[in-house]
Amino acid sequence: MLEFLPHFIQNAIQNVNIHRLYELRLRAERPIKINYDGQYVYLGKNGVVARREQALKITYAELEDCIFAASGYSVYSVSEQMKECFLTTQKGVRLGLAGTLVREKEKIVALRSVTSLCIRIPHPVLHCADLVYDACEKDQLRSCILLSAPGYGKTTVLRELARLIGENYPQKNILIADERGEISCFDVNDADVLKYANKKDAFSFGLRSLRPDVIITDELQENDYAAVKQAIDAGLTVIASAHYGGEIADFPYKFFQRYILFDNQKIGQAAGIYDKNGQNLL
Amino acid sequence: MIAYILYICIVLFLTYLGYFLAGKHRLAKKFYASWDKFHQFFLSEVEYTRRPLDEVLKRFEDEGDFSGFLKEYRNNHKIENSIDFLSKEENEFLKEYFSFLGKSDYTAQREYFNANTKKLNDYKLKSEQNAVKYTDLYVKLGFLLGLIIVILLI
Repeated sequence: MLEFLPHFIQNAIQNVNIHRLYELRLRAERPIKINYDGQYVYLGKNGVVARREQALKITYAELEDCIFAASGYSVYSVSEQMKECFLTTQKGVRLGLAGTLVREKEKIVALRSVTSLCIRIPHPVLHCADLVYDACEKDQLRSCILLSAPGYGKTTVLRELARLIGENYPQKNILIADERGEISCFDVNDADVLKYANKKDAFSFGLRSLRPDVIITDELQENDYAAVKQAIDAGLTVIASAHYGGEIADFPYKFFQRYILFDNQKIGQAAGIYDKNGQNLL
Repeated sequence: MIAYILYICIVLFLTYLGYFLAGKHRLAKKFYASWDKFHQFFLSEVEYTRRPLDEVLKRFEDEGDFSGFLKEYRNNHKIENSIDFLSKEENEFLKEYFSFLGKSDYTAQREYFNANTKKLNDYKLKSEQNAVKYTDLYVKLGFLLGLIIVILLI
Protein backbone atom coordinates (compact mmCIF):
# COMPACT_ATOMS: atom_id res chain seq x y z
CA MET A 1 0.00 0.00 0.00
CA LEU A 2 2.85 2.41 0.81
CA GLU A 3 5.28 1.18 -1.83
CA PHE A 4 5.45 4.67 -3.35
CA LEU A 5 7.43 5.87 -0.31
CA PRO A 6 11.25 5.97 -0.38
CA HIS A 7 12.80 2.75 0.93
CA PHE A 8 14.19 4.33 4.11
CA ILE A 9 10.68 5.42 5.15
CA GLN A 10 9.20 2.04 4.24
CA ASN A 11 11.85 0.35 6.38
CA ALA A 12 11.11 2.67 9.31
CA ILE A 13 7.36 2.00 9.02
CA GLN A 14 8.04 -1.71 9.30
CA ASN A 15 9.00 -0.99 12.90
CA VAL A 16 5.61 0.44 13.81
CA ASN A 17 2.20 -1.20 14.01
CA ILE A 18 0.61 -0.30 10.66
CA HIS A 19 -2.91 -0.78 12.11
CA ARG A 20 -2.30 2.13 14.46
CA LEU A 21 -0.70 4.36 11.86
CA TYR A 22 -3.26 6.84 10.52
CA GLU A 23 -1.22 9.52 8.86
CA LEU A 24 2.27 10.46 7.70
CA ARG A 25 3.38 14.07 7.40
CA LEU A 26 6.32 14.51 5.06
CA ARG A 27 7.75 18.00 4.78
CA ALA A 28 10.84 18.66 2.68
CA GLU A 29 14.01 18.88 4.81
CA ARG A 30 11.92 18.63 8.02
CA PRO A 31 11.51 15.77 10.50
CA ILE A 32 8.90 13.22 9.48
CA LYS A 33 5.85 13.06 11.74
CA ILE A 34 3.26 10.33 11.97
CA ASN A 35 -0.15 10.13 13.53
CA TYR A 36 0.21 7.03 15.62
CA ASP A 37 -2.83 5.97 17.58
CA GLY A 38 -4.22 9.49 17.40
CA GLN A 39 -1.02 11.23 18.57
CA TYR A 40 1.57 13.02 16.43
CA VAL A 41 5.02 11.59 17.00
CA TYR A 42 8.32 11.60 15.09
CA LEU A 43 9.38 8.73 12.85
CA GLY A 44 12.96 7.55 13.26
CA LYS A 45 14.98 4.81 11.59
CA ASN A 46 13.72 2.20 14.03
CA GLY A 47 10.17 3.45 14.44
CA VAL A 48 8.72 6.04 16.79
CA VAL A 49 11.27 8.39 18.37
CA ALA A 50 10.77 10.97 21.08
CA ARG A 51 13.20 13.64 19.91
CA ARG A 52 12.90 15.78 16.82
CA GLU A 53 16.65 15.45 16.11
CA GLN A 54 16.37 11.66 15.83
CA ALA A 55 13.62 11.82 13.25
CA LEU A 56 14.13 10.96 9.58
CA LYS A 57 14.05 13.72 6.99
CA ILE A 58 13.02 13.71 3.36
CA THR A 59 14.60 15.81 0.61
CA TYR A 60 12.78 17.78 -2.10
CA ALA A 61 13.92 15.29 -4.74
CA GLU A 62 12.69 12.32 -2.70
CA LEU A 63 9.37 14.07 -2.22
CA GLU A 64 9.07 14.53 -5.97
CA ASP A 65 9.94 10.87 -6.61
CA CYS A 66 7.35 9.92 -4.04
CA ILE A 67 4.62 11.84 -5.90
CA PHE A 68 5.72 10.35 -9.21
CA ALA A 69 5.51 6.82 -7.78
CA ALA A 70 2.19 7.55 -6.02
CA SER A 71 0.71 8.69 -9.31
CA GLY A 72 1.49 5.26 -10.74
CA TYR A 73 4.43 6.82 -12.62
CA SER A 74 1.93 8.92 -14.54
CA VAL A 75 1.40 12.43 -13.24
CA TYR A 76 -0.80 13.15 -16.28
CA SER A 77 -3.41 10.71 -14.96
CA VAL A 78 -3.78 12.63 -11.68
CA SER A 79 -3.22 16.22 -12.84
CA GLU A 80 -6.87 17.18 -12.26
CA GLN A 81 -6.60 15.87 -8.69
CA MET A 82 -3.30 17.66 -8.16
CA LYS A 83 -4.92 20.97 -9.10
CA GLU A 84 -7.12 20.36 -6.05
CA CYS A 85 -4.02 19.62 -3.95
CA PHE A 86 -4.49 15.91 -3.51
CA LEU A 87 -3.96 12.63 -5.25
CA THR A 88 -5.25 9.18 -4.46
CA THR A 89 -3.11 6.17 -5.25
CA GLN A 90 -4.57 3.15 -6.99
CA LYS A 91 -4.74 1.43 -3.61
CA GLY A 92 -6.83 4.23 -2.09
CA VAL A 93 -4.15 6.05 -0.11
CA ARG A 94 -4.87 9.77 -0.19
CA LEU A 95 -2.00 12.23 -0.38
CA GLY A 96 -2.71 15.85 0.47
CA LEU A 97 -0.22 18.13 -1.28
CA ALA A 98 1.11 21.54 -0.37
CA GLY A 99 3.16 23.56 -2.81
CA THR A 100 2.80 26.44 -5.23
CA LEU A 101 -0.42 26.74 -7.22
CA VAL A 102 -0.04 28.11 -10.72
CA ARG A 103 -2.94 30.30 -11.82
CA GLU A 104 -3.95 31.49 -15.25
CA LYS A 105 -6.97 33.75 -15.72
CA GLU A 106 -8.29 32.98 -12.24
CA LYS A 107 -8.08 29.23 -12.92
CA ILE A 108 -5.67 26.87 -11.26
CA VAL A 109 -3.65 25.21 -14.00
CA ALA A 110 -1.07 23.28 -12.01
CA LEU A 111 0.53 22.61 -8.68
CA ARG A 112 4.31 22.85 -8.70
CA SER A 113 7.18 22.69 -6.21
CA VAL A 114 5.46 20.41 -3.73
CA THR A 115 6.91 20.90 -0.26
CA SER A 116 4.64 18.80 1.96
CA LEU A 117 2.68 15.59 1.79
CA CYS A 118 -0.04 14.51 4.17
CA ILE A 119 -0.53 10.81 3.62
CA ARG A 120 -3.70 9.35 5.08
CA ILE A 121 -3.67 5.61 5.42
CA PRO A 122 -7.06 3.94 5.04
CA HIS A 123 -7.98 1.05 7.33
CA PRO A 124 -10.92 -1.27 6.85
CA VAL A 125 -12.49 -1.43 10.32
CA LEU A 126 -15.17 -4.09 10.48
CA HIS A 127 -18.15 -3.25 12.73
CA CYS A 128 -17.06 0.37 13.19
CA ALA A 129 -20.43 1.47 11.77
CA ASP A 130 -22.63 -0.93 13.75
CA LEU A 131 -23.89 1.75 16.13
CA VAL A 132 -24.70 4.19 13.33
CA TYR A 133 -26.26 1.46 11.21
CA ASP A 134 -28.46 0.20 14.06
CA ALA A 135 -29.63 3.69 14.93
CA CYS A 136 -30.17 5.01 11.43
CA GLU A 137 -30.57 2.32 8.80
CA LYS A 138 -31.50 -0.98 10.38
CA ASP A 139 -35.31 -0.73 10.31
CA GLN A 140 -35.52 1.54 7.26
CA LEU A 141 -33.14 3.50 5.08
CA ARG A 142 -32.72 7.10 6.16
CA SER A 143 -30.73 9.99 4.77
CA CYS A 144 -28.05 10.88 7.25
CA ILE A 145 -24.93 12.95 7.55
CA LEU A 146 -21.78 12.18 9.52
CA LEU A 147 -20.19 15.28 11.00
CA SER A 148 -16.77 15.85 12.55
CA ALA A 149 -13.51 17.70 12.16
CA PRO A 150 -11.08 16.15 9.60
CA GLY A 151 -9.44 12.88 10.54
CA TYR A 152 -12.06 11.33 12.83
CA GLY A 153 -12.93 8.32 10.69
CA LYS A 154 -15.98 9.48 8.77
CA THR A 155 -14.84 7.86 5.52
CA THR A 156 -14.10 4.55 7.26
CA VAL A 157 -17.61 4.55 8.77
CA LEU A 158 -19.15 5.49 5.40
CA ARG A 159 -17.32 2.63 3.72
CA GLU A 160 -18.55 0.19 6.35
CA LEU A 161 -22.11 1.58 6.06
CA ALA A 162 -21.97 0.98 2.29
CA ARG A 163 -20.95 -2.61 2.96
CA LEU A 164 -23.67 -3.16 5.59
CA ILE A 165 -26.44 -1.63 3.47
CA GLY A 166 -25.34 -3.69 0.49
CA GLU A 167 -25.47 -6.81 2.63
CA ASN A 168 -28.82 -6.12 4.30
CA TYR A 169 -30.73 -4.42 1.49
CA PRO A 170 -29.98 -6.56 -1.56
CA GLN A 171 -32.92 -5.04 -3.45
CA LYS A 172 -31.47 -1.55 -3.25
CA ASN A 173 -29.00 -0.07 -5.73
CA ILE A 174 -26.20 1.80 -4.05
CA LEU A 175 -24.20 4.47 -5.80
CA ILE A 176 -20.95 5.67 -4.28
CA ALA A 177 -20.02 9.16 -5.48
CA ASP A 178 -16.36 8.84 -4.58
CA GLU A 179 -14.81 12.18 -5.41
CA ARG A 180 -11.43 11.31 -3.92
CA GLY A 181 -11.39 7.56 -4.47
CA GLU A 182 -11.19 6.83 -0.74
CA ILE A 183 -14.53 5.15 0.02
CA SER A 184 -14.20 2.47 -2.62
CA CYS A 185 -10.60 1.47 -1.93
CA PHE A 186 -11.79 -1.54 0.09
CA ASP A 187 -14.72 -3.90 -0.41
CA VAL A 188 -18.01 -2.02 -0.70
CA ASN A 189 -20.19 -4.96 -1.74
CA ASP A 190 -22.25 -4.57 -4.92
CA ALA A 191 -22.25 -0.78 -4.99
CA ASP A 192 -21.79 1.18 -8.23
CA VAL A 193 -18.83 3.50 -7.88
CA LEU A 194 -18.39 6.82 -9.68
CA LYS A 195 -14.82 7.88 -8.95
CA TYR A 196 -13.27 11.34 -9.10
CA ALA A 197 -16.44 13.12 -10.28
CA ASN A 198 -17.57 16.17 -8.38
CA LYS A 199 -20.81 15.80 -6.43
CA LYS A 200 -22.92 17.76 -8.89
CA ASP A 201 -21.84 15.63 -11.85
CA ALA A 202 -21.93 12.37 -9.92
CA PHE A 203 -25.45 13.00 -8.64
CA SER A 204 -26.70 14.14 -12.02
CA PHE A 205 -25.05 11.34 -14.08
CA GLY A 206 -25.86 8.75 -11.44
CA LEU A 207 -29.53 9.70 -11.17
CA ARG A 208 -30.00 9.67 -14.92
CA SER A 209 -28.14 6.52 -15.80
CA LEU A 210 -27.65 4.27 -12.79
CA ARG A 211 -31.05 4.52 -11.04
CA PRO A 212 -29.71 4.41 -7.48
CA ASP A 213 -31.83 4.03 -4.35
CA VAL A 214 -29.04 5.07 -2.03
CA ILE A 215 -26.21 7.51 -2.71
CA ILE A 216 -23.18 7.48 -0.46
CA THR A 217 -20.70 10.31 -0.66
CA ASP A 218 -18.15 12.09 1.50
CA GLU A 219 -16.84 15.54 2.34
CA LEU A 220 -19.78 17.68 1.25
CA GLN A 221 -18.87 21.29 0.54
CA GLU A 222 -21.25 24.21 0.71
CA ASN A 223 -22.08 24.10 -2.98
CA ASP A 224 -22.82 20.35 -2.91
CA TYR A 225 -25.87 20.59 -0.65
CA ALA A 226 -28.23 21.68 -3.44
CA ALA A 227 -27.57 18.44 -5.36
CA VAL A 228 -27.98 16.43 -2.15
CA LYS A 229 -31.30 18.12 -1.32
CA GLN A 230 -32.52 17.53 -4.85
CA ALA A 231 -31.72 13.81 -4.55
CA ILE A 232 -33.44 13.54 -1.15
CA ASP A 233 -36.48 15.41 -2.47
CA ALA A 234 -36.55 12.96 -5.38
CA GLY A 235 -37.01 10.14 -2.86
CA LEU A 236 -33.45 8.84 -2.63
CA THR A 237 -31.54 8.06 0.51
CA VAL A 238 -28.33 10.04 0.78
CA ILE A 239 -25.67 9.11 3.29
CA ALA A 240 -22.91 11.68 3.41
CA SER A 241 -20.20 13.17 5.54
CA ALA A 242 -18.98 16.71 6.06
CA HIS A 243 -16.48 18.63 8.12
CA TYR A 244 -18.29 20.31 10.96
CA GLY A 245 -17.19 21.16 14.45
CA GLY A 246 -20.15 23.08 15.85
CA GLU A 247 -23.41 22.26 17.60
CA ILE A 248 -26.07 20.21 15.84
CA ALA A 249 -28.65 22.95 16.41
CA ASP A 250 -26.49 25.33 14.36
CA PHE A 251 -25.96 22.97 11.44
CA PRO A 252 -27.62 24.82 8.53
CA TYR A 253 -28.79 21.96 6.33
CA LYS A 254 -31.88 20.41 7.86
CA PHE A 255 -33.05 18.02 5.17
CA PHE A 256 -31.38 14.86 6.55
CA GLN A 257 -33.26 12.47 8.82
CA ARG A 258 -30.30 11.72 11.04
CA TYR A 259 -27.24 13.75 12.09
CA ILE A 260 -24.29 11.86 13.52
CA LEU A 261 -21.80 13.92 15.44
CA PHE A 262 -18.42 12.26 16.02
CA ASP A 263 -16.54 12.33 19.29
CA ASN A 264 -13.54 14.64 18.93
CA GLN A 265 -11.56 12.60 21.44
CA LYS A 266 -12.05 9.12 20.01
CA ILE A 267 -11.58 8.32 16.33
CA GLY A 268 -14.61 6.69 14.68
CA GLN A 269 -16.85 7.02 17.74
CA ALA A 270 -20.28 8.69 17.47
CA ALA A 271 -20.84 11.18 20.30
CA GLY A 272 -24.46 11.73 19.36
CA ILE A 273 -27.04 10.63 16.81
CA TYR A 274 -29.71 13.28 16.35
CA ASP A 275 -33.05 13.26 14.62
CA LYS A 276 -34.61 16.12 12.68
CA ASN A 277 -35.77 17.79 15.88
CA GLY A 278 -32.30 17.76 17.37
CA GLN A 279 -33.08 15.01 19.86
CA ASN A 280 -30.16 12.76 20.72
CA LEU A 281 -31.12 9.13 20.12
CA LEU A 282 -28.14 7.63 21.92
CA MET B 1 29.11 -32.54 -59.90
CA ILE B 2 30.12 -32.25 -56.24
CA ALA B 3 32.27 -29.25 -57.12
CA TYR B 4 29.28 -27.47 -58.71
CA ILE B 5 27.15 -28.14 -55.64
CA LEU B 6 29.96 -26.78 -53.50
CA TYR B 7 30.18 -23.61 -55.65
CA ILE B 8 26.42 -23.04 -55.33
CA CYS B 9 26.65 -23.59 -51.57
CA ILE B 10 29.45 -21.01 -51.26
CA VAL B 11 27.42 -18.40 -53.18
CA LEU B 12 24.26 -19.15 -51.18
CA PHE B 13 26.09 -19.10 -47.87
CA LEU B 14 27.80 -15.76 -48.53
CA THR B 15 24.55 -14.26 -49.81
CA TYR B 16 22.82 -15.40 -46.63
CA LEU B 17 25.73 -14.03 -44.59
CA GLY B 18 25.15 -10.66 -46.24
CA TYR B 19 21.46 -10.87 -45.34
CA PHE B 20 22.37 -11.88 -41.77
CA LEU B 21 24.82 -8.99 -41.35
CA ALA B 22 22.09 -6.49 -42.30
CA GLY B 23 19.93 -7.96 -39.49
CA LYS B 24 20.57 -5.12 -37.04
CA HIS B 25 19.07 -2.63 -39.50
CA ARG B 26 15.95 -4.76 -39.87
CA LEU B 27 15.72 -5.02 -36.06
CA ALA B 28 15.98 -1.24 -35.81
CA LYS B 29 13.21 -0.91 -38.41
CA LYS B 30 10.94 -3.23 -36.40
CA PHE B 31 11.86 -1.44 -33.17
CA TYR B 32 10.94 1.96 -34.59
CA ALA B 33 7.69 0.62 -36.08
CA SER B 34 6.68 -0.65 -32.62
CA TRP B 35 7.89 2.51 -30.90
CA ASP B 36 5.81 4.62 -33.28
CA LYS B 37 2.79 2.39 -32.60
CA PHE B 38 3.34 2.87 -28.86
CA HIS B 39 3.78 6.63 -29.36
CA GLN B 40 0.38 6.90 -31.06
CA PHE B 41 -1.20 4.67 -28.41
CA PHE B 42 0.25 6.71 -25.57
CA LEU B 43 -0.80 10.03 -27.13
CA SER B 44 -4.38 8.82 -27.43
CA GLU B 45 -4.26 7.62 -23.80
CA VAL B 46 -3.03 11.03 -22.63
CA GLU B 47 -5.64 12.78 -24.75
CA TYR B 48 -8.64 10.70 -23.73
CA THR B 49 -8.60 7.96 -21.11
CA ARG B 50 -5.55 9.05 -19.07
CA ARG B 51 -4.99 5.61 -17.64
CA PRO B 52 -1.96 5.21 -15.35
CA LEU B 53 1.24 4.43 -17.20
CA ASP B 54 1.60 0.86 -15.91
CA GLU B 55 -1.85 0.08 -17.23
CA VAL B 56 -1.00 1.68 -20.56
CA LEU B 57 2.20 -0.36 -20.81
CA LYS B 58 0.32 -3.53 -19.93
CA ARG B 59 -2.39 -2.83 -22.49
CA PHE B 60 0.01 -2.12 -25.32
CA GLU B 61 0.22 -5.27 -27.36
CA ASP B 62 3.27 -5.91 -29.43
CA GLU B 63 6.09 -8.37 -29.78
CA GLY B 64 9.79 -8.30 -30.50
CA ASP B 65 12.56 -6.22 -29.02
CA PHE B 66 10.43 -3.18 -28.24
CA SER B 67 8.01 -5.27 -26.25
CA GLY B 68 10.90 -6.74 -24.23
CA PHE B 69 12.26 -3.26 -23.69
CA LEU B 70 8.87 -2.02 -22.43
CA LYS B 71 8.59 -4.97 -20.06
CA GLU B 72 11.96 -4.07 -18.55
CA TYR B 73 10.95 -0.41 -18.31
CA ARG B 74 7.70 -1.35 -16.57
CA ASN B 75 9.62 -3.20 -13.87
CA ASN B 76 11.87 -0.36 -12.74
CA HIS B 77 10.75 2.76 -14.64
CA LYS B 78 14.32 3.38 -15.70
CA ILE B 79 16.38 2.63 -18.79
CA GLU B 80 19.53 0.97 -17.65
CA ASN B 81 20.86 -0.67 -20.82
CA SER B 82 21.37 0.68 -24.29
CA ILE B 83 19.81 -1.01 -27.30
CA ASP B 84 22.76 -2.41 -29.20
CA PHE B 85 21.30 -2.07 -32.70
CA LEU B 86 20.57 1.64 -32.21
CA SER B 87 23.19 4.34 -32.61
CA LYS B 88 24.45 6.39 -29.66
CA GLU B 89 22.34 9.35 -30.73
CA GLU B 90 19.26 7.13 -31.07
CA ASN B 91 19.84 5.60 -27.63
CA GLU B 92 20.03 9.09 -26.16
CA PHE B 93 16.73 10.00 -27.79
CA LEU B 94 15.19 6.79 -26.41
CA LYS B 95 16.42 7.59 -22.90
CA GLU B 96 15.19 11.15 -23.06
CA TYR B 97 11.81 10.04 -24.40
CA PHE B 98 11.24 7.50 -21.65
CA SER B 99 12.62 9.70 -18.90
CA PHE B 100 9.82 12.16 -19.62
CA LEU B 101 7.09 9.52 -19.85
CA GLY B 102 4.44 10.16 -17.20
CA LYS B 103 6.52 12.82 -15.44
CA SER B 104 4.23 15.80 -15.98
CA ASP B 105 0.60 16.78 -16.32
CA TYR B 106 -1.34 15.89 -19.45
CA THR B 107 -0.87 19.26 -21.17
CA ALA B 108 2.91 19.05 -20.84
CA GLN B 109 2.90 15.36 -21.84
CA ARG B 110 0.75 16.03 -24.88
CA GLU B 111 2.94 18.91 -25.98
CA TYR B 112 6.24 17.14 -25.39
CA PHE B 113 5.27 13.91 -27.12
CA ASN B 114 3.50 15.66 -29.99
CA ALA B 115 6.66 17.71 -30.50
CA ASN B 116 8.65 14.48 -30.68
CA THR B 117 6.37 12.88 -33.26
CA LYS B 118 8.35 14.35 -36.16
CA LYS B 119 11.71 13.31 -34.70
CA LEU B 120 10.44 9.79 -34.13
CA ASN B 121 9.00 9.65 -37.64
CA ASP B 122 12.32 10.78 -39.08
CA TYR B 123 14.16 8.03 -37.21
CA LYS B 124 11.52 5.52 -38.29
CA LEU B 125 11.80 6.56 -41.92
CA LYS B 126 15.59 6.46 -41.75
CA SER B 127 15.49 2.97 -40.21
CA GLU B 128 13.17 1.77 -42.99
CA GLN B 129 15.49 3.19 -45.64
CA ASN B 130 18.54 1.73 -43.89
CA ALA B 131 16.92 -1.69 -43.63
CA VAL B 132 16.23 -1.76 -47.40
CA LYS B 133 19.56 -0.15 -48.30
CA TYR B 134 21.81 -2.32 -46.15
CA THR B 135 19.95 -5.58 -46.74
CA ASP B 136 20.22 -4.96 -50.46
CA LEU B 137 23.86 -3.91 -50.22
CA TYR B 138 25.03 -6.78 -47.99
CA VAL B 139 23.12 -9.39 -49.97
CA LYS B 140 24.69 -8.12 -53.19
CA LEU B 141 28.16 -7.97 -51.62
CA GLY B 142 27.74 -11.48 -50.26
CA PHE B 143 26.62 -12.76 -53.63
CA LEU B 144 29.52 -11.02 -55.42
CA LEU B 145 32.05 -12.30 -52.90
CA GLY B 146 30.65 -15.78 -53.43
CA LEU B 147 31.00 -15.42 -57.18
CA ILE B 148 34.59 -14.15 -56.88
CA ILE B 149 35.53 -17.07 -54.64
CA VAL B 150 33.89 -19.51 -57.10
CA ILE B 151 35.71 -17.90 -60.06
CA LEU B 152 39.01 -18.11 -58.18
CA LEU B 153 38.35 -21.75 -57.34
CA ILE B 154 37.52 -22.58 -60.95
